[in-house]
Amino acid sequence: MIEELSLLLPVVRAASFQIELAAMVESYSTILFRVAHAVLRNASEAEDVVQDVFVRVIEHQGSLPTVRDLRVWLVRIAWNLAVDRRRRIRPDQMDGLFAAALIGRDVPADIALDEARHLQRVFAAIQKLPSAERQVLLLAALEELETAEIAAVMSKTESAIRALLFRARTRLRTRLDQGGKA
Amino acid sequence: MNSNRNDLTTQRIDRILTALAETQPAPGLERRVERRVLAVLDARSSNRPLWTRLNHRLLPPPVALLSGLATLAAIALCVSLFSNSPLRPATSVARSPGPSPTAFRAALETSTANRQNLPVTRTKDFGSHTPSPLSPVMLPPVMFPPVMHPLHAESLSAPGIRHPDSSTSAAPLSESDALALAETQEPSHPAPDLPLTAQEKLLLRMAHRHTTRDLAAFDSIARDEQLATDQAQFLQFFDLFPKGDKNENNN
Repeated sequence: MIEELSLLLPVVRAASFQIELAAMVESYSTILFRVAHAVLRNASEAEDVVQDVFVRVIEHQGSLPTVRDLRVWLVRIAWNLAVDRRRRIRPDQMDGLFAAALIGRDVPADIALDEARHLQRVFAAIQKLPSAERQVLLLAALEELETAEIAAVMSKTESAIRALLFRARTRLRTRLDQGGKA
Repeated sequence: MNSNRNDLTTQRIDRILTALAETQPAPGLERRVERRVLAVLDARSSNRPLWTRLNHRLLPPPVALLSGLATLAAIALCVSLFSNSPLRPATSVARSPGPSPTAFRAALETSTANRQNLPVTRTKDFGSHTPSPLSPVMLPPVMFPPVMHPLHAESLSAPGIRHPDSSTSAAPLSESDALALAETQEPSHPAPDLPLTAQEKLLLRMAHRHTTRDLAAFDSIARDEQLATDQAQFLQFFDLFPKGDKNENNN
């Protein structure tokens, strides 16, 4: 009887992993998409990142039981994959498209063009922030992660996260006001 | 002028950050992710059982994933039921068939129907887990072969009754089987009294902590009576011995 159960054990273990995986896909796909999209500003690229995250989970399924906070772990993977992907593609073009999509259609063309240019400058300024400040700014903007979770993602303290967020916003505003010279 | 520019800049920053926060993925993101995940799982598990591979070829990947999970859960349920059944012999698990394809298909239909009926809702609060479509999946009723009671078995194996399926069931019972059957049919006796538990023993010790002498010490009248009784018993004890015996004892 014990031998029969031991034969079934890998099957049951694989089943439980697959159940966990399916639940993960349902629960975390959207937040992972938003995290990737905050970096890439492109929906299809962000979706690819989400898929890659779950492929990574399959590859590292052995370390799943040691993961303390699954959400934090997945967000960290998504962030790293998105940053890697951004290095390989041309992000400026994507920023332009995303900025143009933010402007309403009823706005006159010249104003829309001008506003899109301004928004693109904001994206460029965000990209020029120090990496830690940029990461805090974008993760905090998602409004789905608590400060403690962001701190866990970045392996920093909560007070450091608050300070980074304050500095990021201040630096961004100053740079934009001074035309990117700060 | 400067404050206006600052406000405008802040507005633009907030606008962009809000847009990033409110970005929605294209519908069906989860299904596409599941498809990719299934493809990876397929590639990784080349030594998968035949029924799983067949199932994945016949059904769309998300349905196949759910069906596989439901079947494995059914297997786990079967194992737990078999292991808990006292009447079933130990070898029955090896002989018992796995979930039948009918039950398997029923599980598929149920899971698919549940998924189709599930409204697609997106909540902004991801701290609480969104309900998984797996959770409401109803497992198919697993059909076990009926467990045969010894009495029923005896009636079927009686010489007068012929069972159409089993020619061996008409054979008479061996001596050991008959003894076992008789023991099984005997009326059960009431169980003997259980020994006291540790708590009950403690209660007893609390209730009978003091002897009568100790208890009498608390009451002056009872104490005097007890002392008088003790003295009387003492005197009575030594009056029993003759005086010569006392001297011998002293020597």
